[in-house]
This record gives sequence, C-alpha cells and structure tokens, in this order.
Amino acid sequence: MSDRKSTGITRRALLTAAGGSAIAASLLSPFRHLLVGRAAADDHGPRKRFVVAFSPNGTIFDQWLPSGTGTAFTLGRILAPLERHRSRLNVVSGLGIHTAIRGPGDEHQRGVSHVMTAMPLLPGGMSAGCDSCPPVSWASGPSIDQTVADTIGQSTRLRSLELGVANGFRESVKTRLAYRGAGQPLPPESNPWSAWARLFGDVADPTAAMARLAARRSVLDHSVTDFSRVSARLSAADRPLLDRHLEAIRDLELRLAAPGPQGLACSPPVLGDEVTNLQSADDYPRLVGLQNDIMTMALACGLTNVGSILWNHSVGEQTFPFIGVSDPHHTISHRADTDTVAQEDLVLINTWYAEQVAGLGDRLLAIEEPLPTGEVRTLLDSTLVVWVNELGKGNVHSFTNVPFVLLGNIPNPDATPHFATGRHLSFEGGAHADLWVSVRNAMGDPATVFGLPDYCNGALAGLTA
Amino acid sequence: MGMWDDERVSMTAAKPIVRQPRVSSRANVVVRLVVAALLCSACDGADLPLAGPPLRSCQTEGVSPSALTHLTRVEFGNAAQDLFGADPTLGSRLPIDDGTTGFEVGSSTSPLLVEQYFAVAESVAAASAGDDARAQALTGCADASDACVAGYIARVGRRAFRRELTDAERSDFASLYQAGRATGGVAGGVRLLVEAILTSADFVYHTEGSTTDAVGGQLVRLNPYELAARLAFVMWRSVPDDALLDDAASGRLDTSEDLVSAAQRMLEDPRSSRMLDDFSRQWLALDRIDTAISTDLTGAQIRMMHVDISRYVARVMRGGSFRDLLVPTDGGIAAAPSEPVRGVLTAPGIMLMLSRATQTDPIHRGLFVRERFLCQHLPPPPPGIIFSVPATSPGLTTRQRFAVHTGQEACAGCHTLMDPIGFGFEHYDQVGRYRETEGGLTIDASGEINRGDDASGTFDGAQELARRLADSEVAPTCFARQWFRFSMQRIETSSDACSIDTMTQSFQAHDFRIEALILSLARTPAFQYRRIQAGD
Repeated sequence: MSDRKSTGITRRALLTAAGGSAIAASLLSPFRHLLVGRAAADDHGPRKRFVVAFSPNGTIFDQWLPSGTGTAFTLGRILAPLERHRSRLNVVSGLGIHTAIRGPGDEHQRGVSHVMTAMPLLPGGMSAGCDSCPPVSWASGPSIDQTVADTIGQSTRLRSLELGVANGFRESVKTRLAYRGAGQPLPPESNPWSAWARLFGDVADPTAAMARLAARRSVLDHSVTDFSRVSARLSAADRPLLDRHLEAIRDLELRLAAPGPQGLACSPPVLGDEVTNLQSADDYPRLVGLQNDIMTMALACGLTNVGSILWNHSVGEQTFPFIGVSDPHHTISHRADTDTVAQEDLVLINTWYAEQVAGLGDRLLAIEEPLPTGEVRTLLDSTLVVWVNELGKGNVHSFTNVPFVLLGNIPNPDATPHFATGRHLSFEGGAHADLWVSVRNAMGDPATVFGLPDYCNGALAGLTA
Repeated sequence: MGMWDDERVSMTAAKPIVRQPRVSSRANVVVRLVVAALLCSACDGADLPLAGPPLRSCQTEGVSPSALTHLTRVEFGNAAQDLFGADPTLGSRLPIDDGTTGFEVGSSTSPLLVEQYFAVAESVAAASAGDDARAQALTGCADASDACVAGYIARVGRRAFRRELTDAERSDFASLYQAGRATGGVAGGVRLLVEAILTSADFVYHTEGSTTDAVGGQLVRLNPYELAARLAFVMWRSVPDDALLDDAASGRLDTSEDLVSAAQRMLEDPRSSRMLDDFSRQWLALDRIDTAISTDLTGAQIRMMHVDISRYVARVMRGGSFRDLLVPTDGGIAAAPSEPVRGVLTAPGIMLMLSRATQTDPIHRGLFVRERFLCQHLPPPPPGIIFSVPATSPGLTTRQRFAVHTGQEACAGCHTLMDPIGFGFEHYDQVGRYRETEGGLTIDASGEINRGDDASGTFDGAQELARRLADSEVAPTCFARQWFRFSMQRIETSSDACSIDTMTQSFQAHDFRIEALILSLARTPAFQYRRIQAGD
C-alpha cells in the first residue's frame, strides 16, 4: 500500500452522497429506463476504467528502453520509478505513429492529435495556435478515450473527464488530447479547484445539491426547448454547431440522474490553498499531483470511467526548477544529441513524468473496491493507465519508437485479468493504432481497427493473459 | 511560456533526416483562402506577400463568409455583469477560446463548455438573486407581482437576446419563474430566470443574419437590432443597453452615418475600456507578460508591466494616433526619467515577455514586429533542424552569439527577416531594463527591416525602428487589419478588400488617429452584412 497522505486523500465514507443519489433516483425523468438500460449494458461483470496520461516533446529512447524482454527485463533510468509497479506493468516499445505521414500540420501538431486518433488533421483556413504554424484545424476523428467511452462511459455522470496542467491561454491543436469526433476537441479543465467544484461540489452541501437538482432540470428543460426552437430558425450552415451544443445539453440532462459521487472509497481530495498562477513553475508539481488526485477520485467515486490528463501540452515549455532543470522543456528537447547537459535534463524530465505515472498507480492501488463476490480488489485492477507522448525523439520530431507504457489491468467479464502484465514487449516497426485496438478489445469492444485502416494491423499480439 | 513560442532558435542545421515520403492527401490540396498565402514554404521564395488584399472597387458582394460563433468568455463575463451585476471575471471559468486567428473567437463547442455555461450561470444567479431582497432589487419588483416580473422578463430578455422576445419565449420564462417560485420563493424564481437567460441560444450565440431562408453563400443585410448587437459586442464587448436598442427600434441605426455616430457615443462611454483592454491584451499577446518568470522582478511588478501597457494603449486609442503608440509625444510607458521614452515596442513588459530567463531573445523580438506590425507570417523552421539557444558566454554579446545561424544557408532565408529587426532592441535587457552596455561590451543595436514594403531600410536602435514603422504605410495598414480581425472575430480575405480599404482610407485621412479607424468599421460592408457559409 502506498502512503495515502502523500496523495492528500483521506478515507471517509460519504453516506450523504448515497442519500443524494436516492433522491436523484426519485426525481428520475422518463429517461430513467434509458439510463438503467445503458447501465445494464455496461454492467456485464466488473467495472472497467481507462486513463490516458500525456507528457510532451519526446523522450531519450535508449534511457527509456528496458533491457531484456518478456518478464526478464530491467527498467532503464527513465522508467526506474515504475519498478515498484513492475508486476502490473507493460512497457510497449517499438511502436510508431504511422499515420503521421498523412495530412496537414507540423510534427508536434500531428503527433499530439494522431497519437490519440490515428487520423489526419483537418485542413484549416488559418494558422492554428501560433503565428507561424501551418494552417490546420482539428483532428478528423474521435480519440481513443472517446471511442472507449462509447463502450464504458454511458452510465456515469460524465462520459469522460479531461484534465490538464499549465495549458496556456488559447485553444489550439497542441493543447488538446481528446476529440469527441471530427473537428470536436474536448478542452481539458486546467484548474484543479474548478474541476473539484464540478465533480465534488455537490458533496460539500448535499442538502443544497438536492434542492438544486429540480432547478437544474428545469433550466436544462428550458434550454433544450430553446435550442431546438432557435436551431430550427437558423440557416443550414449555422445549424450543426448549435445542434452539437443541444446534444451536449441533452446529454447533461440524461446524466443528471446518474449517480453523484458515491461509494465507500469516495472521498473528495483536499486541495489546499488555491494556486493563483496556474502557469507557475514552482507550483507545477503540486498542480500535477492535484489533477492526479482528482482523476483518481473521479474514478473511485464512480463519476466517470474514462479520463485523460494533459500533464503539459505539446511543445510545452515547462521548466522544472524543483529537479534542477531551469530551461524550458521544448527548447531543451531540440538540442543536439552531443549536448550532454541537455540529454541529462531530458532524462531527468522524463524520469519525473515516470514518477507521476507511478504516483497515479499508487493512488489507484490505495483504493479498495469490494466486489459483489465479497472479494476485494484495488482500483488499479480495473483501470488501465496508458502514458503517451507525441514524439519519439524530440530534436528530430521522429514518429518511430514512440514511448508507450501501460499500467494496471482490465477485468474480463468473468473477472479474470485481461492483460498479462509484468513485461516488456517489443513491437519494432509496429503501428500505435494496433495498441488502441487492443485497448478497445479489453473494454469489450470487438473492433479490429482504430483510425485509418491502412495504418492499422489489428490488436497487438501477446498482450492478453 | 505560451504556445506562441513554437519556433525556436535555429543554430545548427542538422544532417538531413531520412524521412518517410509524405503521402499527399486530399486534405493537403484543399485550396486555402485567407492569409495562408503568407505561409510560403520558404522565406527566400520570390515574393513575401505584404500588407493585404489588392484594392478593389467597393461592392456589397465584397464580404467573405463567416461562421456562427458563440460569445467569447470575456464577452460572456461582461454581459453577465451588464445584465445581472455579476462579477465579470466569472467568465474566465469557461474553457479558453479558440485562438487560431490570433484573436479569441467562440468558434467551437464541447460538453465541458456547455456544462460550464450552466455552472457559471448558477454562480451568477446565486450572487445576483441569492435571496428575496437581492432578487427584488435585481428585478425592481418590490411587490414581486406577476405583472412586474413579466415586465422585467421583457426588458432583460430584450437586452440579452438583442431583440424583442417572442410571446412563446416570454411565456416560457414566466412559467420557469413560477416553477422556481413555487419551491424557492421569489429568489428561487428569479434565479431560474437568470440561469435560463444565460444558457439560451440567442444569448450565447451571435446568430445575426441567420434564417432558414438564408442559403450558403447568401449575403444578408443585418437588421437594426443585429447591428446594435454588433456595435455593442465590438465597442463594449457586451450586450447592448436599452438606449441602443431603442435606437434600433426607432430607425436610428439605419444608415452608415447613424452607425458611426452610435459607435462614437459608445467609444466615449466608459464601457469601451473593456474593449480597449481586450484589444491590447490580444493584439500584443500581453497574457505572456503574466506568465513571464523572472528572478529579478516580483509578481506585482510583472503585473504592473501589463497594466502600464493596457493603460497607455487605451489612452492612445481614445485620443491619439498610430504614431503615438510607437513614438510617444508624452511620457509614454513607464520608464526611468533618464531613459529614452518608451512606446509599445520597447515597453518593459514587451521586452520582458520577448526574452529568455537569462538573456534577451532577438529572434522573437524580430518575429513579434514582423507579425504584429507588418502582418507577415513566417513559416516554422524546416523539419530536421536541431536548434539550440546559444548559451551566455563572457566576451561575446547576445548579438554576436545569435548572429551565427543567420550565416547558415538553411536558416538565413527566414532569419534575415527576423534577427536584424530584433537586434535593434539590444539596449533592453531580459527584464526590460535599459542598458548602455552588455557585460561591459559595447552594444550594436543597428538593424534593418528587409522586405518590409515601405518600412524597409536600416535603422540604429529601437527608437529609429519605431519611427521607421510609424512613418510607413505598411504598419498602420497592418494595424487596421488587426483591428478588423479583433472586431469581426475572423481573418480578412481578399473578398473583404472593400472593407479593409474603407477602413485604411479613413485611417489615413485622419492622420492615423485610431479613433477614426475604430469608427470606420461601422461603415464597412463586413460590419453591416453577413455572408452565410456554404452548408454541409
């Protein structure tokens, strides 16, 4: 068991939350059967959960790569912090983002969108995000987390939770991981205090929350009527944006009746004093930790089964003064291979991110979930965390040897673990889309392809138990 | 560091990287309108397009299509303040807006955005109508009678929707009020009203000119209410007030002259400060100052650098000329008495945000001038370039250290467009202080604008650079285009030539007084019309 205090999570059963959901149930709309039906469809066997964590600007491959394969491997310097989770780990080496040769965008733009969608970017009519970037719009298809959410995200309060850290001021391809569909980026919430209020605010004052439920339903009902009326009045070209908005309102309405924070393990994290400058380098480790806490508890409280955390955006110029790296990350990532100081800095940065993956594992491992059989499992037994990057090597923007790390597992319908773990698997020259097919299969989706079919060969061999 | 810092210093051209051949997809050959022409594949190509679309005779057809947009979070916060007395910073709880035009635009939606609209609306309602006393004060209905509340709904709804409410809308709002009142008293009813208004389609979206009859490509003349809405969102970054809507209703916004006079009245109104601050923040990317990290400055000093620039730009935009922005005739932007007077180019905050932690950044200083003052956009460094910022070293000036890569063939094409401008700022260190020497070495601040149209030529130091830009036609023309992008929330295309031309001519005719530029927008076809996009 890990040190709970370090995560800021205290175990406290929230009986009030259970009471809240009873009230919620009594207020269920005609949509009730839908939810119950959806929940039933999801509830063949134990719950499944999926989290993607992203860090940018490539890695130092030879320091990342374990030596040896199968179960007989030794972690390299960068992944060393994950040794404590060795038995629950799959280091997947050799995959490339093969789709990245397709479509517009610079290498970072293609990397950060293709890694999640395995689809080209849409062409844009304007420069995106920076004054000198080539014209691109958004990704042209759904990201893996959203595809997974279609399978395991139907009955929860949120279909998925997108969190970020130090994510800049403007929306652009480089600050988005998740896409609901073509041209539909899902912005991450980069303020832990706002995320907390959104997820756990009701728990703080359950009585008021119950009173608000009826009011919220009234306002949502009004909004649905209003948007339908206005949409019918608009030109055909304007309607799709409004209709997507309307769809999101309807989804909110449906999910209003979904359970709020609940469960014995549900204990909203204590965030502490609010950080006023969310871009502050000194506060960066704390902000990353808090978003990891919030993601963990969103899963533990049953608010969502799917999440993504953009620890820093693509091309992020994060500094890491707390580990002695004061130059900006992306800038360092472009220095020459012969620059030993830069190489060491990049190893330090990537090792720090590996520690964050391990920390997320600690948090999930610390939460116990009693099964109907009486058996007790940890959240990590039902959560697959995948750590991704948009590039292999930063200074040449390579799309080969992109680092992927899988931590945790997914239960099969019969509660046996889906993945064999504790291994290093090498798929030299393999397509990263194949990994996402394996993930879809783990979630119970029998798909054989993800993203562009020409760049996908089906599920990776040898991942399953 | 923001996402603008995408392109880094090119120092060494790496060995060519073996790259997989690019498969040209259909996506790649889609014709790109807009300024995409500026993104030539290499800077040393034959022509670097300048200043803008060719002038054309004004025809009303000259308006390029625009997409449906929602309020930006700045607009949302301001409108919540004007309608319900809310704290306008509540808008910053909404997700960040699309910045792909260089200015913030409400171009896309997402489940998080929609959810946050409801959450922010709840916060506004709780603050504005949290108890009966506040609810009654907000509505002006001490008796809470149905008739009085119906009047309030019609009034506040007209401002929020920028038009008269329909009977169905009034009746829906009244029912909602009654439902809320039944369980939560007067405050309960008013809170629901506030929430419902702030989450309505006609509040959240700029639906101007859109009707089921309007087909793709059609040019639609906006009606007076829609023109009032445009005026308000440009001049105040918020909803119109009753007086402006009364003008719309009584035919006082029908002509270009009417619109210009209304814009003038609105610019004189204190609410226009919100627009001026929003413009300077976005045009000069002042958010980057707030995140600058400096061990030499306190957070309060850094914030003050941002405020100093906002205040100065607002002052000049109200009463001064484009020249005053660059070459102040008064004290300019806060600097020590013994130093040269500072305009926006050398403002301490600008110099700080265009620096690195331990040294200046001539490249990004040059790029900033190229992009923000000449409207020229350079392509990113070619793939396979490994670039490093030269480390500080005693005995060499920053200029000497950065000069290396301009001598390299792969880099020179673009860097001759940036670096010789950026070197002109070398008298301003990484925290914006004026310096006579750099580590005891003599500073060479001579520079040159290459291929910058009539701004081209050599200069010595940032003051001369500022004068060179101020005396050119290309820089004020670029400024006019930045104003267009900000106010119309889209990038101009060659179809907008008439509007751009109208604005620049007015600007020029008034000795580049910025007020003239601001007001001239109201007479352009781009402002008065909307061309519907082609449908799917």
